[in-house]
Amino acid sequence: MSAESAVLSIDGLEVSLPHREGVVHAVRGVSFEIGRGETVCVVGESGCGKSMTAMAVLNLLPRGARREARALRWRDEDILNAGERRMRDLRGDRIGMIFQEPLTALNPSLPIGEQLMEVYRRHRPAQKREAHARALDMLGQVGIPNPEERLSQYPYQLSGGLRQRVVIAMALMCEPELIIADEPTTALDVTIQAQILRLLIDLKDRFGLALLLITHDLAVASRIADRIVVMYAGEVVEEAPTDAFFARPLHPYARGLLGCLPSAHGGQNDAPLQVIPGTVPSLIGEMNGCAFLERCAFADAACSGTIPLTDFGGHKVRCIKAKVPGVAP
Amino acid sequence: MSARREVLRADAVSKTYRVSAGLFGRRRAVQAVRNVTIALGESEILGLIGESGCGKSTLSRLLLGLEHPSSGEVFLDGAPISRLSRKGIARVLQPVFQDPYSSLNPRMSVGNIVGQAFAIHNIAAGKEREERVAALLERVGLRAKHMRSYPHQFSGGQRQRIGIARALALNTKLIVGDEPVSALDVSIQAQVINLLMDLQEERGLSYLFISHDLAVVEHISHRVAVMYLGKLVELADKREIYLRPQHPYTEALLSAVPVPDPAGRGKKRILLEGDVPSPVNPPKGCRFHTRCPYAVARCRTEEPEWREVDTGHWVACHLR
Repeated sequence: MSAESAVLSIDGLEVSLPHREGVVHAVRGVSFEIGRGETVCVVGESGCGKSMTAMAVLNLLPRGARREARALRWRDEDILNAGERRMRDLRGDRIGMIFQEPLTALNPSLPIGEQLMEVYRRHRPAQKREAHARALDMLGQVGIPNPEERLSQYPYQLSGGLRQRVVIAMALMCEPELIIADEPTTALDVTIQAQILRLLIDLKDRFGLALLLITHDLAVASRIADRIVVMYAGEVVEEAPTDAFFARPLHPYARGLLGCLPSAHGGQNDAPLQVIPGTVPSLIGEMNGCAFLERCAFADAACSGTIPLTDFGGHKVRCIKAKVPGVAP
Repeated sequence: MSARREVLRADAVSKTYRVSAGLFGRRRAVQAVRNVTIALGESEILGLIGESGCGKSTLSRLLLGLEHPSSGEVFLDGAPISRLSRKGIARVLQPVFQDPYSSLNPRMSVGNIVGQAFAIHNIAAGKEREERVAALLERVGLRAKHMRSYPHQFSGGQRQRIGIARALALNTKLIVGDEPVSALDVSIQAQVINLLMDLQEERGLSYLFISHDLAVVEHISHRVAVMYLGKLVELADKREIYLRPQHPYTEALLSAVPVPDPAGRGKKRILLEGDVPSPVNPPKGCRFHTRCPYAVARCRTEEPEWREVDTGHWVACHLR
């Protein structure tokens, strides 16, 4: 991807957090870009740094966290050194946000209509009437029945699925170019999850949105992503176009992750699940060599050196043992 | 239905809770479980799936004897569970909970958590108790020295192993697991699922395995039951359920499961409209009719019977 078509580019992002046993290096040298209208899914398990990466981009890190990077750009603008004021203008306006738990993203003591209008009027010099019309329109766009009636309701009066639709409507109020969604379907039931996923796919096409979706669920990622970024222990270990990734995941961790998912295919699977032995390494202090070394079946002495993210014609992997057929690095 | 001996049976159980709607609201009845009959066979893994609010957790509490049904009865090895002592039930029937963080006492050492059952039941003491706890910890993939550690020193997966060791301490035959692997990351989840399946084979255990995750249930179960709004809608052998689902709700659930394969994008999915109705005021007739793509007039008025449509394949639907 060329730099000028990227809406967001992250280059060498590091996030560290203080901890009583030392400094936790939650994000370690993460780089990737999101093009206009592109959907990038960052996948990984708890503690891999995927949410921290998103929070670092938005400058919403917890107190005490340190953020460093070679560069952090919104289009051509440096947002690494931008002030909080500028970030506040971007968030909710150019960059919409959707979080996992819709109940915490909404103010329980305000009708949802007011919350939607508030977002709009914060960023636009709009009269109440215009904001009201916009809120009504957006509730309709996200498939909420009887939107007029819903505007005066409070979050507790809505089901989980409807609340998540309201949160999505709120993210869309100012016609953002990018939406950052952190586990938007995780707290929902399977049938509702399917509805919300369909809605997101539909909206990103309808509005030409770029989407940065953070998820632990490879199945969700496979349905919506243009590109997959796999994180492990604070690092990007693999990045590839979705089809290439699922056709041939290269990193042993990514292969292991796909292998340990039970598959729903006609009740035929009785073999034990593949497992990734061991647990994630501690992120406290410096780490040398491959972060996956101790859990990897292919590791040898060479893996304790520095392992670069190597690009094999658009499919990047941070592993010196990965077998890439027919492509030279 | 297989020829397995029944070890745990719910016979036409219902459970009604009274809830108040708001500060001044009238108290209303919520029928969380309605007329459910289900039996768990010896050495069988019975999966129970359904979405939030479908009553699967309430059913598990009834089966564990933690709550009494408003009507109907639960039988443990043929004996009405309401007549058995707490301790008598606990000797053979044990729970494993979803949240490995809140289900272990943070002030107790792992040795005490796992060994408590021996103390309560006056089984083993002193050195012997310690040895048995050590053996249990090793069996679930932990180390004997972990006895002296406390829950906060363990990861989620390790805590769930502690919970499993605790459940196995006595002469446990039956385990009721309410979402026992749902809080775990996939790589850890696979480890715990394999452990549960190994233990089941090794000790001939029976599990009622409750989960919202259809792929996990498919992997682990022999038979699968599907619940919707307090009622069973379908029950059959795993293969039957996943290959030939008979109830429209089961069909939609299976269709909604995302598969980690981008080739599935073009797949036609049955997308259910709307939300699960409130159990306070469930729809008349078939409870699923408000979301069912095939509903006919009869479905709106008449509650479907629970019928065996094929050997061991039970469905509650007018259209089958």
